[in-house]
Amino acid sequence: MAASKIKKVGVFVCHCGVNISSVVNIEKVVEAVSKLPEVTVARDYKFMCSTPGQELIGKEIKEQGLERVIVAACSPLLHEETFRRVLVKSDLNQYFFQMVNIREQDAWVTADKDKATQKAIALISAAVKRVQTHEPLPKREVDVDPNVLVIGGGIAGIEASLQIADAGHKVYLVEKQASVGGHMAQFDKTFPTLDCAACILTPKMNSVGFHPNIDLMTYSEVVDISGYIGNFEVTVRKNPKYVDYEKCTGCGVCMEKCPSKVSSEFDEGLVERKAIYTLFPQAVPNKPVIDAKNCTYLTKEKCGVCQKVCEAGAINYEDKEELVKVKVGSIILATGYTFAKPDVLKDYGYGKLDNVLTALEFERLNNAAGPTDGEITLKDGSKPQSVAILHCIGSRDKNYNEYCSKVCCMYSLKFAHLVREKTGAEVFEFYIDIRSPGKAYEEFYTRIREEDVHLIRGKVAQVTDVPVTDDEKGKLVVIGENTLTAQRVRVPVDMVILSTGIESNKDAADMSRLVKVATDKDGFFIERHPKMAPIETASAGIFIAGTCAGPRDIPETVASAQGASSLALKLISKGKVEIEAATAWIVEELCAGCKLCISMCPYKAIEFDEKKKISVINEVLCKGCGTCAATCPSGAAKARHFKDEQIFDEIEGVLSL
Amino acid sequence: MPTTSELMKFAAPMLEMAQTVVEAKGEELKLCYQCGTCTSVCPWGNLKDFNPRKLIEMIRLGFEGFEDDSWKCVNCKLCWDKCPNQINIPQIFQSVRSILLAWNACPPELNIALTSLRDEGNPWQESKEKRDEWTKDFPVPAYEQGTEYLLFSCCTNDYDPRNKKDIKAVVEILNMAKVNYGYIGNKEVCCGDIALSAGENEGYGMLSNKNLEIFRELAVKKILTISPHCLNAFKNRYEFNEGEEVQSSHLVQTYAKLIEDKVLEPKGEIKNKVTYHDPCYLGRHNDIYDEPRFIINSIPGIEFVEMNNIRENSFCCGGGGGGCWLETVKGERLGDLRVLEAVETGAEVIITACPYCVQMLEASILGLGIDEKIKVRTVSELLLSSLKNEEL
Ligand SMILES: Cc1cc2nc3c(=O)[nH]c(=O)nc-3n(C[C@H](O)[C@H](O)[C@H](O)COP(=O)(O)OP(=O)(O)OC[C@H]3O[C@@H](n4cnc5c(N)ncnc54)[C@H](O)[C@@H]3O)c2cc1C
Ligand code: SF4
Ligand code: SF4
Ligand code: SF4
Ligand code: SF4
Repeated sequence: MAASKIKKVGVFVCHCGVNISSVVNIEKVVEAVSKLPEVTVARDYKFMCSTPGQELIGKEIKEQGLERVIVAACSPLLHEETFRRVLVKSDLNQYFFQMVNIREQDAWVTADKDKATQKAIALISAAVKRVQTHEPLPKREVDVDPNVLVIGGGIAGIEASLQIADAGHKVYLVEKQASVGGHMAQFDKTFPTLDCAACILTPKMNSVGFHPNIDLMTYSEVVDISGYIGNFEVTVRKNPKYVDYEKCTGCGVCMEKCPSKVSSEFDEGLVERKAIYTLFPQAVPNKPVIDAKNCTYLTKEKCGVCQKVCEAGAINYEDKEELVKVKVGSIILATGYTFAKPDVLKDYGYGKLDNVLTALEFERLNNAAGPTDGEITLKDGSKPQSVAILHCIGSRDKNYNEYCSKVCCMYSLKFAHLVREKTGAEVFEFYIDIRSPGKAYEEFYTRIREEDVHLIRGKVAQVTDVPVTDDEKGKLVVIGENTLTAQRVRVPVDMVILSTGIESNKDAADMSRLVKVATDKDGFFIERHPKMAPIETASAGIFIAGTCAGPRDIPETVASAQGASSLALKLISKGKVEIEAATAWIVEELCAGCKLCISMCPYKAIEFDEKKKISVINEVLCKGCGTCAATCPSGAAKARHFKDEQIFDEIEGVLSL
Repeated sequence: MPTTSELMKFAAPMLEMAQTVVEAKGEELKLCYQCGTCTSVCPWGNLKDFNPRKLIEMIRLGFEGFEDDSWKCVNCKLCWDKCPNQINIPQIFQSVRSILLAWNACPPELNIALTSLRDEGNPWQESKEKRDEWTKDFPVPAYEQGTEYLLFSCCTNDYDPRNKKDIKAVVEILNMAKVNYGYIGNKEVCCGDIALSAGENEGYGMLSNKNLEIFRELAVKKILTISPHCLNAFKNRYEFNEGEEVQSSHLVQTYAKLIEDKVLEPKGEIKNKVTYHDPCYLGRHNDIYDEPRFIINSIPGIEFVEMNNIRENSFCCGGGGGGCWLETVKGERLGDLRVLEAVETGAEVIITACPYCVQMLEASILGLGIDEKIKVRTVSELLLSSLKNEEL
């Protein structure tokens, strides 16, 4: 190692309250570090990230004329930005800074206090060596494209789009299905206020459909995304609708006359729809699409009825998919959830016994625009005398989904109310715990108890139609334990509702690859920080809203959508965004032209120069991840701020003790 | 006159007790969130106040009163399969039992069986020299190094007069199919499966070591079991060394293969209405459900009906977990429930594939006084009757 040239290094050690100081002996660390020849000053403070902490660093930079600054504290993920800003304020290049993580990588994972202290000293010594060769890197800024892409048109996507469009900016809203609305469009009433879903959703759906700033692309999917924060290029595939929306008047004659019937997904299979259909009567856009798989003309070239009856001449059997490219500065992911239908449903007779319904089927049954016009009836059309509602089916269950699905306690209580109100039937609600934290939620739970709903604490194990008493004949028998009286119970009822949960979308992994946002073990998108950055993601410029990030109810979904839109608007109003300066470059003389780096770069930032027969990095696209530097067999690809000598210095620093 | 504090009743946590259970491999009890699924599915609940959920909670906090009931669990595994926290509930009772045994607090009749296991290598208080007595007038090939299968007979088949009939049927069928197998006679000791479920860790260790030693000495590669408990011990419990590739299988698997390959052709008609009882250790513990049904369905003339609770949801005969060695009062026998379920299907014969099930179900039939109505036969007995064109 070259002898250290830089002698004016300042080290700042943070206690992090007691997070670090309860394990690491800060005094000893400061003492040991002060003795290093390169270190001019070593200080400690309770909260280095606080304003006084930052001022302390600024003051020492000025007074001591520090050339390099090291902060030993938490993860750089949390506060690297904070401290870099202190350097900039003090007229030092921000890359003259190094952060040492003595919290997550030391205090929190080391039990032995002496060892933890030693480790802190070693890590700081490494940084002291490393900063010797730090180079000033220039600040890099790019312009932000003011357009925004929103993926998914449920309540999350609708809300986010409207906020941005109302602020005067262009939104491309891409929805996979034939209409916006998502799951909320399937409900009748919503907890805890019991206001009607349609009354609060339909006006917003219409606004989205007619907003001059929103380019709504239904029946469409995003197939490619390239670029980076401020400058994404997105390819959208518009699937063929076989209906020309310019000509279609939405009269609906085609749907009336179409002879081909299939089960309606929107109605959870309770009724049928036609092959040419709108998702539901209030769909936006309120124009039909042809379901190519079930259309007799498109599959067998027979029929053609819709074309004959359409006076506007809007039916086009020759319609083809279309690829559209759009440019945007930020992306909001609002792809929502899938309603879970775990295998365990069969233990509860689902699919075998009549009148055993999933929660979403019940929502449709209860919906004024649903198959029974909102009447809660049994399969034979009669009113139920008794109904059982079973919580936690497939949730909080290691055999299926281990997590709590969060909304089902509340929607189950909502169901109990609706059954009581509409039918007067006795309701038996089996739960393990009632989870009702939320504004006015506990009060709603109280109200349900006042309405004479019979709550039984215990999870139901089985639903059977095999009677053991006369009372049970012709009934569904629900078997569980009332754990509060320690008695096994059998309750004969007419209808059983299975409260299953919120699950991530089946195509979450594909979406994750497309947007480069990781998913957790359950397939939900991961936020940049669970507390401090719940809407941002590890990919700059990409935000998450609604249930694609985990189970949420409508209030939380809308709040996160508004959060996501405000973050997108922040980017737009700033107009410029600083991008990573620590990019990679390729040493021309060393590059053998093997192209390995090109295949590995996750940001497609490397091109091949055919004349020189070498790889070249596009600095604007490079994120400085270092993959190429690690891959290159000739050592030609180099990463700024992570040069070999810097890494070796660091290692030597660790070993120097 | 008592003092007020003597009158007031409270339960106080005894955390030391809870900790002891946790340390005896019962740690999973910490995960229980008291949903009651186990209590709802436990077959005991049909007959008496037996509440695994409540017992777990009492054990977790060391509240007195769980001791007696801890001997009841028959390790049927229904609860474990349904528990949303995947808690191995029978293991928790096994842990409690091991502690109670160390304190000498176990039902006396269980003690008799466990002592016999330690002294004679079988639970039936029989001499170890007499294990192979049934082969005196019924020659069985001896296992030698190089024989393909070791036929592991099981104590109950070797000593119990009723089950000797079954093992003889096994031998006849294997001979007919020219299977290359052998028997080790008095060198065999109990597999120890039920001893372990009963909490007898030491006895189990001794028994398993003895068997392992013999398997090693004879370089055994494949074991054919008649009792699902032996199968379970070898497949899921024995600690074979790495590289010791010992394959264990159950006879019904062999039969099914032999029938499929047309080596065995059951041609004799059996004109009976039969049902099939899934032994817990063949079914839930080892996932063997289809083979016995395939065998039954391959018998010409037979009428096969299923009971209400079958396969993954089958009810226990009451023999598992040491139940076969315990006295149970009338009206509290799981076997009764199972037998009555079979009678209600209209079947005249219950087919099963475990010597303990045979014992427990037959005891219930006698106790209920319905031996005119229904009888118990093993899969081997059924198959042999057809092969020899005899009545079942
Ligand atoms: C039975 C039930 C009852 C409920 N009742 C209530 C209630 O009363 N009150 C309440 O507050 N909450 C309730 N909820 C919760 C509520 O459903 C959610 O909070 C809310 O619907 C979430 O909205 P979202 O926009 O995140 O997701 P979604 O409604 O799922 O919308 C996602 C949208 O994205 C689209 N999409 C998905 N993938 C893609 C893709 N790759 N490309 C393009 N588009 C895509 C989908 O087609 C869909 O339109 C209930 C939930 C259930 C299951
Ligand atoms: S919200 Fe309630 S019903 Fe849903 S998983 Fe959680 S506890 Fe169970
Ligand atoms: S560092 Fe290399 S691999 Fe990473 S983005 Fe830049 S060019 Fe691509
Ligand atoms: S294993 Fe069987 S007997 Fe034992 S507690 Fe579970 S269900 Fe009951
Ligand atoms: S099923 Fe599992 S979680 Fe539920 S009470 Fe029983 S042991 Fe506890």
